[in-house]
Amino acid sequence: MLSNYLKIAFRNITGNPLFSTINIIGLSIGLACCIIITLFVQYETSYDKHWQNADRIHRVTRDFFSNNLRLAAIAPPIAPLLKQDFPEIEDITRIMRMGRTALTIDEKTINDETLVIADANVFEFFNLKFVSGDPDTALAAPTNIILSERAASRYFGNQDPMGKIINVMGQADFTVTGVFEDLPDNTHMRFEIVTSINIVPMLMGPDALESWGSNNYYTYVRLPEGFNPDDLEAKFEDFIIKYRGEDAPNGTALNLQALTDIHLTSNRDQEWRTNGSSAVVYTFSAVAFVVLLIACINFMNLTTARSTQRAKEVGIRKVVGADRRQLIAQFLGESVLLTAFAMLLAVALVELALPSFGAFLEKPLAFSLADPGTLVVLLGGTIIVGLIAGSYPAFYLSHFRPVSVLKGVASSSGSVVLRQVLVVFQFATSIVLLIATGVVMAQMHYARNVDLGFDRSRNIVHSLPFFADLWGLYTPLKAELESHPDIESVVYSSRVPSQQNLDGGGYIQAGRQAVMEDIMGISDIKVDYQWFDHYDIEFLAGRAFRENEMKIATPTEEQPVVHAAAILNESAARRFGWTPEEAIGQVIRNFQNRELTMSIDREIVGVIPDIHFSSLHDEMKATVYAEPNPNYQRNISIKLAPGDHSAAIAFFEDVWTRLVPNDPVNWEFLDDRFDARYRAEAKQAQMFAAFSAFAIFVATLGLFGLASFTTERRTKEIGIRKVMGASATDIVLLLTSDFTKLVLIANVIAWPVAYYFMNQWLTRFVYKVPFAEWAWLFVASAVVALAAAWLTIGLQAGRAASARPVMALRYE
Amino acid sequence: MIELHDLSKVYRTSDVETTALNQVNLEIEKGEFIAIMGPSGCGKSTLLNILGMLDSPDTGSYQFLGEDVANRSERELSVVRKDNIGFIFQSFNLIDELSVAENVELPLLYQKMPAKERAERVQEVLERVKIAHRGGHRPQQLSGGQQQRVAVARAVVTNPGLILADEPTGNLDTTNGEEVLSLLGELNTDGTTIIMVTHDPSHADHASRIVRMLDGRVLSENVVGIQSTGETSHA
Repeated sequence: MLSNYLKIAFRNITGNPLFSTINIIGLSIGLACCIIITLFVQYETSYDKHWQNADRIHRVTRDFFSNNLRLAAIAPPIAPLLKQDFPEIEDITRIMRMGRTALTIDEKTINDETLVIADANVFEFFNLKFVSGDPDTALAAPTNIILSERAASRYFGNQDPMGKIINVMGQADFTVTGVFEDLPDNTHMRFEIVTSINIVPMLMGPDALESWGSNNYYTYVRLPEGFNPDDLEAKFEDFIIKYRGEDAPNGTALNLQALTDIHLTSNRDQEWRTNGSSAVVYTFSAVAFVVLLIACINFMNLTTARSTQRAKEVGIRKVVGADRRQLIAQFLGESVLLTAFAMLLAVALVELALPSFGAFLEKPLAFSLADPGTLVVLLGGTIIVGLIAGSYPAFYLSHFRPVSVLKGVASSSGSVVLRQVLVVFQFATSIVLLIATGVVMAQMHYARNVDLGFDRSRNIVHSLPFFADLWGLYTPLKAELESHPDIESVVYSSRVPSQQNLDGGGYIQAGRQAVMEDIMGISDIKVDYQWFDHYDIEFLAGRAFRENEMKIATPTEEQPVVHAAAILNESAARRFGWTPEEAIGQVIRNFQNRELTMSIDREIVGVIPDIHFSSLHDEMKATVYAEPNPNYQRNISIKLAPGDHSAAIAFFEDVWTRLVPNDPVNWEFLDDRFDARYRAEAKQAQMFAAFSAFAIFVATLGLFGLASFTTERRTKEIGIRKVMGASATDIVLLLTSDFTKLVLIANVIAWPVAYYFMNQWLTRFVYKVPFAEWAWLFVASAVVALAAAWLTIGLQAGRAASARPVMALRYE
Repeated sequence: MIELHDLSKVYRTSDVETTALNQVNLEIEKGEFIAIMGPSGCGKSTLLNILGMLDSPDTGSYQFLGEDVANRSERELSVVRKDNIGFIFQSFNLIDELSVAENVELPLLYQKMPAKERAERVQEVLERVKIAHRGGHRPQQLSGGQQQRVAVARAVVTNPGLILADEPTGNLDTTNGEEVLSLLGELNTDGTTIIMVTHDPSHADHASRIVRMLDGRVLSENVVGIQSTGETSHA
């Protein structure tokens, strides 16, 4: 019996090439999308699960309420105090990223981004395996340095790195005392070179590890088995009060994050790197499912559409003794077999597409048929998809009564309505995807082209390394660079646009009683006096800094209050309760110590509009612009003259290499930096566009099949109409009008759905593309959907309409 | 074998009621060869469908082998059907995707007969209808007469007690038609009950009894060769 079913199924598949091709191609695209997205989801959800005791490790994070900072890292003194106060903490470890660092090895200086400073227990904490060296003593001395295998081979090739010397930033020589296994890619952390936290006092001052203001240390705690992290978190408020005073919880808080949740749910300031997003994972899962569903609907529609062809077989089988269950089993078997063919093709598609998809997402996605688990999933998937796609046709076909179908009067009105509903569904989902793609693209375009409030064009920026002590070099550097005809101006600042500004200070209006709760945390940026001019920023009131206002202002015990100037943005003026005009001439007090005894009193000389400093993801913060400070001036902006930039850039590289020989040149175009801030979204947009294209392709494929069956069924009607005088146009209109109605209905359903979802999506951005700029997408998607439908149906209809009527009439 | 009492069947659409069978009474003995005749629309095919349990009557009783089957479920009917009845249609109704032998084998598959036995049985019947040499061909590769012989083979392959034939010669030329009729005659001689709907009086002559119908009623039953009173001509 089974072989009979298989035979029939196989002959049906091979005997109806159009039907089979459409279904197999559609299903294979749907299945391939699902497999690829499953691999992506599997990878995204695997982050940090591989660490020993991963479920018991949590990251301590810190919030600052007044300037709305949510930091992924905390200050260095917190970890030892936590360990001391809370016996439930089994272990705790700190890691600080050094950012771009110049390493000198064998007299060659290289930029490295992977150096961290960490507690000595970090290897034991995460159970990182050593390839050589002793993990217990490797970080014993502050000038020891440990490399990952990748870093070791990057810098030492085949040589044994043990005992080799690496100079860091020209500050100190470090000795390689160990090599550890590379971190897997699926962790939120990123480091390849580790040195001891004990080097911090030597590099950054004796009190650097005592500072509560230096929130750069990622801190991880391990809790006992079964311990509820909420119980520990609940005690953090008292902890803050104990060490920072009664008022401190109004300004700051500590929190815990499960290690395994960080990648998909954490989006704090100063993350190791841009994390994934559970919303993206859900969205793409849903989209892949939709593509598969559209393909399943094709199968249902095409099978029921050609049911008249199968009806006779059903009748005969029933007459010779088949019962309904046997027929259902037969038809389900057929759809499973067809799905199996599609699955084979899907696997081939995945094998073809995965390498480029993985490279595109920058994730090492792997797919192995040698893995029995994969095979089980593919087999299970084939059966489930086959049963879903085949369910309705099986029940529909097997219900035919032999008397009716053998007479050829099988009624299919019920299935016609359902087919129409399903076509509407297919097109509605495709249209939603189309609009969604359009909105994502529109937001990207908006982000790239929105007036940021400053001119970022023709700017290259160079960020200086952490330890750089280049204060003295600025003046000669600036003078020399500006002497080049293709360089318009050079300015320096603590942050450049595109960076997240995490610096800030405590401010109050001068003359008011300094009570802790009145002090406002406001972001500040230290800038060169020409900075506003350089970035072409207009003033709402007042003026830019003057050169003589650029003296370094540092209060001392002897002179606890010093005077300086400040420029506010509009939000900052508003926080003090002033309009831009009112702000001019006011004095604000910027406290310099916790005891509030030392301050810089700043007279406001100008107010600028809020500018989109970092990216459209972030709200424009209230910001105080102040004079430069040697500890903060880590960024140079160079404005190039219009035209060819190569001479100016070569000149800059040359000057830099000469003046700062131990810091390899490392510039970027500011435009590129801004684009990088939207990299994740840009990739999502492209992915979205691809999946939408697949969805529409599969839906159109289904429509093509359906139209061809409809046309075939109406051949006689077409013949009669032509004999009665209908023109080819009349026939095409006749055949397209039914489907046109369906596509229009699909639009009406899709529009509000798309509007709702895309409005939701846009809430992720603080500054979003206005509706007026994407309203046209609704009309455009309708046009695209109609065009796709007309093209497919028109092809069929045109052929039928141009045939000679006698052919059609002879048909029956 | 078959007893029908006051059997009626009415087809209804939204505004038209058509009485296909009206109070039909009929008895058929085992081993008979019945020809049902009548003009188009007189209810012949409806009667045959109900006899074959492909359709159910609205009222009246239908005793098949002593059991009332008028109100059985489709599943129960399909069991009775596959064990007792073979069908032959005017339009052959062969499955195009299956070969001749596979078409004939189909009823045996649903009876779950072992493969070896099935092959022997199929070969035997195909030889009997003289089409064994075309066993591997598809129905469309055969002439109409050959196709109908395959259909006959399929109808008899399970050795049913009853064969229902709905205008089995309707699509065939005279020679092929005669061939099929003599096949049916042979089966009848071997003890199979045959009920055949036909338009053609000469074909009806192969039957042992002719049932004439008009407007859903049985007008007369006459044994072939004896004219019934009041009947003047063939339909």
